[in-house]
Formats: sequence, C-alpha cells, structure tokens
Amino acid sequence: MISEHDTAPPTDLPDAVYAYAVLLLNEAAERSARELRGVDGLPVRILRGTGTAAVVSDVPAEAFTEEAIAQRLDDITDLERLARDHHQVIAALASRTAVLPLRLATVYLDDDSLLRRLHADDGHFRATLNRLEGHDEWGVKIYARPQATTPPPGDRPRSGRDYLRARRTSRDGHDLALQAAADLGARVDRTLAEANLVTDVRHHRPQPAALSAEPGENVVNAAYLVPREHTRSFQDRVELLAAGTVGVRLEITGPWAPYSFASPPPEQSERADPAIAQVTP
Amino acid sequence: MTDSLTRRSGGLSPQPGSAGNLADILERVLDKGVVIAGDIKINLLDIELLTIKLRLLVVSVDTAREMGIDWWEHDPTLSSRAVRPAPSPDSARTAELAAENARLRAELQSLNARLKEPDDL
Repeated sequence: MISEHDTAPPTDLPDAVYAYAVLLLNEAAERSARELRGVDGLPVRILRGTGTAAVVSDVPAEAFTEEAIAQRLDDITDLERLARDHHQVIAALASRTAVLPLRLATVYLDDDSLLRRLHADDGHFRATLNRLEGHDEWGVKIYARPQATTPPPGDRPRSGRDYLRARRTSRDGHDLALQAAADLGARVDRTLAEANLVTDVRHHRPQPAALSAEPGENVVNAAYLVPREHTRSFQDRVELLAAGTVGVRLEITGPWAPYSFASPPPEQSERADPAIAQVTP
Repeated sequence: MTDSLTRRSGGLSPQPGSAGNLADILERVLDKGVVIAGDIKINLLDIELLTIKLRLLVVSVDTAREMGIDWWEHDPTLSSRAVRPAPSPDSARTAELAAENARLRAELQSLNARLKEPDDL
C-alpha cells in the first residue's frame, strides 16, 4: 500500500501548525512531547506562550486546507487514523500533566497566529488547567438489558387476552429496564457526590443502538472528573452499585484526558463564547 | 442472572496504538474538547452532521468489525480500500449481512439526503 505520508514533504512547501492541546509550561511534559509522533506520524513540538504552551505538529499546509480536512473527515479510514493520532498525543501528555484537549483538526497558518490565540485566552486556559490538575476523566455507560424484556421461550399465548397480557408484560419489562438503568445512573451520581469522589460530572447523549452491536439500549452516558487519588474508590463504588442492580449492564471506560471538562458547562458556554462565534459560518 | 460489568481501557494505556474503542474516541475528539478558532476554518455544522452520520453509521466500529460488518470498507464511495473482496464465511450469514447492508445503505441515503438539505438553502 502506498502512503504519501511516508515521504517527507519538500522543504519549499509552506507548513501549517496543527494544535493538539494546551498545557501549563512544564519541563517534564516538554521532554516527553518531543518523543511523540502526531498526525500522519509527524514529530510533535511545544510552542511556548507566556503562561501556557501549545502542543503542535508542523504539517504540510496543503494536507490541511479546509477542503482537505473535509475530505479526511468524510472517509472513515482517514477519520479513524486522524482521530487516533490526535487522541494518542493527548493521552500520552495527559498521563504526565494537566492538558486541555483541543477539538480535532485545529489548524493555524503559523506560530504567531496560534501564540496570539494562546495569549488572548490565557486567563481562561490557566484557570481550567489548574482545575483539571491531578484529575482523570472516567466514562460510565449504562445499558438497559434486552434479555430482561423478552418473555421466556415456550410461553406462548393461548388466547387474545393472553397475547395482550404478554405484550403488556414485555413492554412493562422494557420500561422497567429503562427505568432501572436511569435510576442506577442517578444513584451513581448521588453516591459519588456524597462520598466526595468526583469533582464534576457531564451527562452526554446516549449512544443510539442504530448500528451498535452492544447488547441493550444505552440510557446513561456520563463522564466524571475524578481526582487521581480516588480512582480505586470511584471504580469500587460504581461497580458495587452496578452489581446490586438487576436488568442493566454498566461499562466503565478510562482513564481519559479531560475532554468532557475542557469547556465550561453548556449553559455557561451559551452565554458567550467568541471562539465558537468566529468559526460558525 | 448476574449483571455484567465491563471495564475498558480508554485513553491512557501505556502501549501506544491500543487506545480504546473508536466510538468513544470519536465522540470525544469530535464532540468534546476545547473549540478555539483556528486559521483554517472548520465548518462546525459539518462536524455536527458528521457526528450524527457517524452515530448512525458506526456507533461501534470495533464491535461491527468483530461481527464481520465492515461494508463501508468495501463501498467505493466510503473507502479507498473498496477493491478488496469481502470474505464470505457461510452463505446464511452472508445473506443476513447483505440484508443488513441494504437496510443500512437505505438509512444512510435518506440521512445523507436530509443532511444535504440545509446546504441547498
């Protein structure tokens, strides 16, 4: 298979700057960043601002034009490669220092342009990074189990009334499983908050079962910001709650870089976010 | 019946390259993270539509692949790797997948049609 990324771009082509994340100036993180490979296998470097730094790769400008990016995002194979490359850099950094992950394909024409952006958002970035320091993001997904909703085999209805009753039982079983999953989600939230095991929580849209071969219907898709010293207690509490609940399946994912906590909560960001306003057509 | 619990390593696995479920990664890198204005304009509306499309298309790519559902890799409009012929383990399963394939194509087509509408305004 031929990959155009295997050969270095000719030096006379202009570079663009692909940004992965923002972090506080930090020597250890800088050292480890230099060993990383980023999008398209390109080297990673640190661009130092005044209080914060950006983690970037120099990329061939023509590979990251608006059209080129749109094309990449449209091809599942390219998208997967880009997403994993982007994520890999952020994940490696997040294990060493607090990072603000940037949205996929944040690209600048040159260092100065990105430095101006860092400078403009300096206060906000630093406050968020200080808040995220020492934390990991953990995902908790709760599914209603379909098994709990189907009547036992061989239990055939003998009359219309039996049939309707069976239908109602099945529907009630489905509703009960959904309810059980939602209740478990609320219980997890409450327990973790009461035990002071999490700093913050975000509830994301459930992942629809349209093509998912995951058994069951995703009802809860939550992300928790967990202080690292509470990692084990967090997991134990969540597992204990799940084990005591019939009709659901619970999945813990992580540790993640704090993707879900890099931006202010939705109600705040709606108020004013000039960055979003600028990129919206 | 015991209730199952799965633990999946997400982001920070020590070995690079084994970095978790693609659906979870896409959800985070496309939907979450800081949006700061770059010089190269990415149409956020496009990203949103892409996310919707992905949610329908590949809610869990890994799981789909494990099941042998990888039709998007054989569709020339979706992948450059489409020339590779699909392996067919047994005919019943192939028929089942073909039916599913057809259903998904139809779903995708109608979705695509709906996604295109705002552009025409």
